[in-house]
Amino acid sequence: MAIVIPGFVDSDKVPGAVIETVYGRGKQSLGANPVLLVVTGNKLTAGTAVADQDINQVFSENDADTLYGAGSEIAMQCYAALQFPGVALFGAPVAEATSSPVSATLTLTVGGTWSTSGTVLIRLAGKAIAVAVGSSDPINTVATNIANAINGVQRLPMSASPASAVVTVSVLSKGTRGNDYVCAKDLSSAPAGLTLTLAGGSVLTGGVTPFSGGAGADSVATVLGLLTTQIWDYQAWAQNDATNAGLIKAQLESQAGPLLQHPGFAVFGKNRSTSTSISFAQTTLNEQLACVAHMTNGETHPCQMAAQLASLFATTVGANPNTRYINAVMPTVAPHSQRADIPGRSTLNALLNAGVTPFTTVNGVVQVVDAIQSHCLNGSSPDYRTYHVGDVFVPIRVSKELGQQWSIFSAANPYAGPDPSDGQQPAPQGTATPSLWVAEGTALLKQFEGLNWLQDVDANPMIAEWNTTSKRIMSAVPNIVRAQNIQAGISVRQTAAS
Amino acid sequence: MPFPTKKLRVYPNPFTYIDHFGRPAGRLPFDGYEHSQTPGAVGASITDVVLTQSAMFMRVAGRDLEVNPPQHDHRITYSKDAVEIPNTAYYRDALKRLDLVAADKDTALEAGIKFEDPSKVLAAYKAEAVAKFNAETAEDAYARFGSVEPLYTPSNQPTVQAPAKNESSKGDK
Repeated sequence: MAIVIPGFVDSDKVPGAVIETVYGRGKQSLGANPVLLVVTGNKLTAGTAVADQDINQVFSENDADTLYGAGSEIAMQCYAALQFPGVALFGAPVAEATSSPVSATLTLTVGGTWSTSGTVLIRLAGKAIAVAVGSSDPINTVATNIANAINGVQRLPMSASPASAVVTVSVLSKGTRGNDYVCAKDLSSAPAGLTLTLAGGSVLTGGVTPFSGGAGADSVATVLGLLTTQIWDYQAWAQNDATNAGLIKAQLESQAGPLLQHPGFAVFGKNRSTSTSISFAQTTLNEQLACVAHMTNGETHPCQMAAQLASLFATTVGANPNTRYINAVMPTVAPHSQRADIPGRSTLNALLNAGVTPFTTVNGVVQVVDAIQSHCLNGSSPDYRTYHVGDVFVPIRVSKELGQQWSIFSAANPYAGPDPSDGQQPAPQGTATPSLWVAEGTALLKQFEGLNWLQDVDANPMIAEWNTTSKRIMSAVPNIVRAQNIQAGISVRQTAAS
Repeated sequence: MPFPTKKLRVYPNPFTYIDHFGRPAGRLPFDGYEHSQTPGAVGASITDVVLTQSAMFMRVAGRDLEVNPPQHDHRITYSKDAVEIPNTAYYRDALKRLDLVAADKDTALEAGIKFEDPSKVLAAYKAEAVAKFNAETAEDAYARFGSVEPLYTPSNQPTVQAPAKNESSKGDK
């Protein structure tokens, strides 16, 4: 390949070196590229963004408040995602349901009599709220103080209004997903004789009460269309119902196809029963490009669980797509308040065998047990050929890296042809052949093997051939993702002294 | 001699999940440690597997490589009769959360819950699940999907296990 410096022509006879400096040459490190995360909850009318239309980058919680309204569903997702520094976060708000959406509500009714002071503790959306009660406070005053305390919490996804002894708490974003919020009370420091009755949906473990009455189905269809214009590496979907999930799954598969090359990975959250999450993951999804975060009776809303887990992925895969997520901390997901809801080994095993990523509580901190994708069935048979999210993230990264390598290879070899047969002249310089491309690709794969992304590269070689019809090189690149050190068997055997 | 452990008698709860076609599809996997290590669910089996999208293969240099796995539609069949399972913490928790429904008083007692007529419990759960499905899908969505009822095995018949995939899959593996 001739080296040309523009302007340094053959007729230039002036002694000395002519030096040009060209920036940004060579292979770019894809690890340095921002990995994009998009969140999709509903916004409030107060936010400046336009639902079903805008995709805005969000740099801070204040940005989220301005664009979507403080405490809106999508703003809550942003707060959760921003916990991991450096996340390239975008919001694509889905419009609220159009046909008469209703906010989920819950009531707290103050009652009883008391003669001492104390503190009523309630938890809403996983946040603890303390309300001081005076020894002679009337019931209505306590109710008003509870409402004021709730309304005084910054960025809470709900508001409260008192009426006599009853405080009605309403989720700001309307729709059925508001029913996934819960409220818990702790009267251990309250004045003796004071009662606080929670009323909402069917009571969960330990009297934790979900909101109820939220109604209205939004549709992701328009936002799905907006997302087709580029790669959205991670998508934290607030919409975790079967119908929307089916649409999302279909789009993930079509966008990841070889001609579009927009591989995206969806993260959903669920915070109710094990059985519901398992059936959702296996029946509606069963999809390598999706993951379902589950926390039994979790107090943090599923949309936030999804956003925080997706943000963890987005901020770690650049450096290492085969990151191990066991025991990864979810910094603002509220821990299980009820010991009975912390999953035991049998529950964890059931979830992990069914394509669900469980969250658990260890010493008051929420951790990811193991991050797995949701594909687990082939027909009716278990299929764990793809298991960890790394089994998905690594091939996606390898395909991007190879794509970039191809650009460089193609520029250096503008022509292409078959490998010469034995005895034939080698292909002229500047002509790409299958074996040249395999050598180029294999060198890259060996690098990835050294980085612990892949294993057994030599035993699973890249292969390529010349397609005589379309006059192009076709290649296939088996990826055996390096196994992670997740389990061990250790048998400790006390032995009698001889 | 170990103390005899009472078995639990339970019904599966199909309405813990309604799928994207409006079909009840809830199921609770076996307790993998204290019951069965074979894949499967309590009183529920995948009995109908329909291939909806074939696997995509790519043939390069004489080798077939699977590019995309096949996609299947699953139907679940439930046991009409109560199922007897070991008395484990996992199953007792499932009873508390109505992932399973107690079939008798002894089972409810073991799980620490109040016994109620299972058919009434299931009916109430169904009403709530359908309301939730309608709320998050569309008005009367469950009815528009045909108000699909769970598939049940005939009484006194074991829950059918899905046949081997070569026999049942209406397509490739």
